Amino acid sequence: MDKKTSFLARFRGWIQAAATVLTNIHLPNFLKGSLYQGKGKYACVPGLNCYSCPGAAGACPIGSFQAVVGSSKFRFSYYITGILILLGVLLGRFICGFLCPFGWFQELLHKIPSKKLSTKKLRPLRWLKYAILLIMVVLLPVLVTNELGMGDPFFCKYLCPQGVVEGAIPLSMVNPGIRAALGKLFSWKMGILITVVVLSVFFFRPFCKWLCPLGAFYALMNRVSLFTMGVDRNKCISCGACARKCLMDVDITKDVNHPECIRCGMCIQACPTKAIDYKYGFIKVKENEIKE
Amino acid sequence: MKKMNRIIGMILCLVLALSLTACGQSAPDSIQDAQASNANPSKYTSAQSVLDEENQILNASKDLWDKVFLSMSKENMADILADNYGDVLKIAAEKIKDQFTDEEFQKLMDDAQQIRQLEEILATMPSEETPASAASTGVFPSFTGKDFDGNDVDSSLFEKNAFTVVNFWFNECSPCVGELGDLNELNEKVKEQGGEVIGVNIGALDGNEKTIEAAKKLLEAKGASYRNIYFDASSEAGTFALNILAFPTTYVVDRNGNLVGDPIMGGINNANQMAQLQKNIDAALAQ
Repeated sequence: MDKKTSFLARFRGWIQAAATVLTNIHLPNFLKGSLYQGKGKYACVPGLNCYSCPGAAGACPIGSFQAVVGSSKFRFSYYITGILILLGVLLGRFICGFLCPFGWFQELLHKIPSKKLSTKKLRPLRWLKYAILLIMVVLLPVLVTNELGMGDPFFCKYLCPQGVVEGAIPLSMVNPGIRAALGKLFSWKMGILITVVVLSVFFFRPFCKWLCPLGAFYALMNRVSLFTMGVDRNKCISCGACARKCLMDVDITKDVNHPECIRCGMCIQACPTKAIDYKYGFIKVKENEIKE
Repeated sequence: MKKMNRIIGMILCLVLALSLTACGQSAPDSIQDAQASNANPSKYTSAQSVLDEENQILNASKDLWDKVFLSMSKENMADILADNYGDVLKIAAEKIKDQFTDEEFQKLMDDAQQIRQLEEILATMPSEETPASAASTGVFPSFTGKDFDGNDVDSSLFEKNAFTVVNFWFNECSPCVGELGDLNELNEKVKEQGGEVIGVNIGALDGNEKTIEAAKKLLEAKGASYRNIYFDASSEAGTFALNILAFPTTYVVDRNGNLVGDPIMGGINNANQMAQLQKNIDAALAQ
């Protein structure tokens, strides 16, 4: 375990906190109940972070994608897809584990003392997030439109709990106009948020595992990402400690690029022989494989 | 590290608890079911909840009340001197009594009576909570600009109208475009009262021609013929427009250029929002 590795895995919580603050750096806006609307909003932040958060420094990639494809002028957004592929290749689901504010939020909730439940038996639910990505983010905004060809951002509007945490709640607390506009849709999304919050206490990152379309995209990119894990076969004693420790239900020794691996590094810390490590760059596939 | 986890856990519990109390304040305002009130003052935690209740009463028999609101022009309301909004409604309804059946008229009177009681409760509440103050006591910044047909406009347009409904929108905003037809309908309706609906497309500030062309097409597709105007983005009014964070947002401006009531955020094309807008309009007319 080299120094860089130990730093990343050990200080992950602080990195998550720093990333959350940096993506929402316009802190005075929380008191004013206003939004930053400057040039930074032309760019996407890597994690799931609502554009309508008073502090948000950039735009949410999932929100931007839907806004573009939902407009009457475009049916697909090459610019945002390109940014997502770039981020996916450079970092993959490392973004989920280290940079996403909503991932951190769920992890903090998970620290609340309670009985912790395994999600292993609920694995099939993982597929749901791919369906959400395809249907709510890519298809519905293009297909379900008004007479002028304008669609709604379906995921943002009907599902995303991050929008409630970062947008609706802080804005409506300070801004009476927004408060007056809250209606049934808000109640529905508040219900989703409460469900996710409660589930997060008992399960580890339920939203990331089952619902997040951004996580789904980065999951697909994990295969080709430059950021990966390495398992040293000469050191591995096949004890299974890493798989038991993994809260994302991944056995890293079987697949170092598993779509669900968020690169949190818990396996690195659990490994008794220090056989697991972060790797970055072009790694020869063979080096990484465990022979049966 | 364990200790740290525990501390973070505690802090989080606190944050959670706080955020839940926050929604506890706002949620009942909006979710509250339409229940005729027995005017029990302790039931209401804020002025907003009283107003919501009033709106629900008006919405429950929307068709009837719409007739009444339509009839309320400045001329025939001039002799109404009642302070209580419930009384204003009563008098207005009585003026067009012949348009209703006895049963309908009785319903209107009952509604107005309930609103009368609610207004009395409202009057006992601390005044900073009532909407026509605080954030709303602003002035629409003065401006000079043009309408979409190239005619010069400036803030003197407010003086020429009994009241002006100013709707802020932009082309890519589907709820904004969705209500253009309703705004046009409103414009036709308020003309008789000397009112006017004006659109401000924030994408068209500075006279961006492409945006104006696209906006004109949208207006045409929605059959909207009311005036749309633009001014410099760097002007005071431009800054005002660009600081709006929810779209569509609709303001009511009185003859003197003052903003009346809280702005309506979100489309006016539902009964609750429309009633809120009507309240602002009535307030502007009353001045």
